[in-house]
Amino acid sequence: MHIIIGQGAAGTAAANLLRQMAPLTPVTIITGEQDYFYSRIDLPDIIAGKYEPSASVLQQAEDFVNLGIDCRMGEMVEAISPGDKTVSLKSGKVLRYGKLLLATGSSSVLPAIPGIGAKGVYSLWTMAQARDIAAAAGTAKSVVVVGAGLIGLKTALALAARGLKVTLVEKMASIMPRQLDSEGSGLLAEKVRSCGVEIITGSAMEEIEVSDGAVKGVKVAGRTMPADMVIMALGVRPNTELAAAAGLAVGKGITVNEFQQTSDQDIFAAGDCAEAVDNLSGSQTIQATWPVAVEQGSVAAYNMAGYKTLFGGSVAMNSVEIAGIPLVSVGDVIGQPGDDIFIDRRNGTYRKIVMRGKIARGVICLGDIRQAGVIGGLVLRQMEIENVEKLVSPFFRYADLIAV
Amino acid sequence: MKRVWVDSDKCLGCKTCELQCAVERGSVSKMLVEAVKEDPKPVARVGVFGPSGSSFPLQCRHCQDAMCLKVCPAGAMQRDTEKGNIAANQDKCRGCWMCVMACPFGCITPSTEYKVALKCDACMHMEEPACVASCPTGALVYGDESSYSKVLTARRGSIAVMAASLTEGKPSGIVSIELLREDR
Repeated sequence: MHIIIGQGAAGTAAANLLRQMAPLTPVTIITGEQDYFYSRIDLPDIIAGKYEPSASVLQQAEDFVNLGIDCRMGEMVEAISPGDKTVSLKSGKVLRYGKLLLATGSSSVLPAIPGIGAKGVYSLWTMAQARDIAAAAGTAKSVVVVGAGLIGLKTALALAARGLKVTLVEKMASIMPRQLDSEGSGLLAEKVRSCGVEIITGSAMEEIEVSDGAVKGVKVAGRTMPADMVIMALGVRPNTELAAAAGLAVGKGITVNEFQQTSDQDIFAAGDCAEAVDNLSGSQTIQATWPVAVEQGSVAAYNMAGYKTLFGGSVAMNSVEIAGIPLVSVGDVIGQPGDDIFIDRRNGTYRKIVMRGKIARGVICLGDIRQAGVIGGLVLRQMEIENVEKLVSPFFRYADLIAV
Repeated sequence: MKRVWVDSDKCLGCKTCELQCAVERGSVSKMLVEAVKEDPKPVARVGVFGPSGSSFPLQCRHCQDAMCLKVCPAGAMQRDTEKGNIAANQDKCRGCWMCVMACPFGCITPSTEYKVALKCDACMHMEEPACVASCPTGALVYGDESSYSKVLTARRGSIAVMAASLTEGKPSGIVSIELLREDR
């Protein structure tokens, strides 16, 4: 039997593929989630009231049954013993596995600051949390969102759309510091502000002020802002506790080889909990994105089924639409000394390509993202480009790569 | 699997396929004279690009290992199990643009008005794709591999003949593609 721990993008992708590749081997998913496989990108929209939670379910209970996957909801894993190849559950049951996949995902980073445990402090990573925030937003008047990454921005905009007074606090000098440079970030911040979100950058939150166990305000740079709700959006960290307790090698995340195999040859790991090779630096990183999770989950499934398959590595990449502006960011968008930077600004759009010689290192497309896949693909594959002039031209298309 | 094949030698870069695709698949009126007045403007799912002389009509390749299918977190990108084509279900699309970021051909267009991904589905519910039906030079062909292999065989045959004539009296049989193209 194959056992998969976790029912997110990586776990579900692997389970579905395993049923196709090895139909005779039973597949069991163990997950602490109470909701069936859903799309995380919908969570801010659920808070905004744009969609019902049911609209973001990707795979229902009966879909798992039809595929022949035994999906056990609300079950927590107590421990893994690689020695006798068993997984023991909190409920006391012990399951034996042939191959095990750890797709335990990640959880929100919560700093140890005063007041973090107060009523009215939320983070957004699961459907249950989205429901809680949506319910609380019904009575709340003002909210402070801490962290201007993808989730922070989307949540801030969702709450502003519901009529709350929203303040967004970012420690770094600009919003979306991981994906954008200062110019792109500035363009985006302007749009976000016009949607009614106040942005404070370059200031870290110091304290959550509490009265009677509930949030009263947030102290930022010595100034207290009244708030009856705080959303912590400081990013996610991989859930590696189970792997570490089982004696598996853990670095930034669970250490895996190119076959998604951990230090135990019968245990695989994929998705947010596992490390991934960064094609730009060659080092191990955590790419907590949906595409990488699905790709790693698929690679793990192939190898678990006995088909040797390699994970081709990844680069930091993300796409999102914020305040009506589509944007794609791939690779190193700031550049190192000696890199060539090509910037193209035309009626409200912004495009930046970072080149090192004939190799593209990073790209930002803001506004017009139509060629982002072509340029982003070159960054991902670190391919040498014959005609750099054509690539950086505003009229570049895929056809320019194949034209002779 | 039936698919759209391109004979790039016959492409003149006239963009008739783009027009017909936009009218047939993107417009409300389905008539060119009306479609040009529509707002938002109908969007074509095929694009003719490249320098003149080597222009190329490019639409979704319906890849076997399709990135767009893998990256879609909304379950909107789906492969038709019978025909093998990949289509974007616009009711499910959330406009997160993961597919746009992932497509190495740049074949997915974000609709700025409707906030959904637009892509070629090879007109799977029609008898023949609009681009193929409209192509005045026959550069676009719709069919399975065997029907296109005739075109390929003919082309390869002529290239082989040229290669043979070019290498007459020389020891090496290897000729670069650039040399062949200059020769024509």
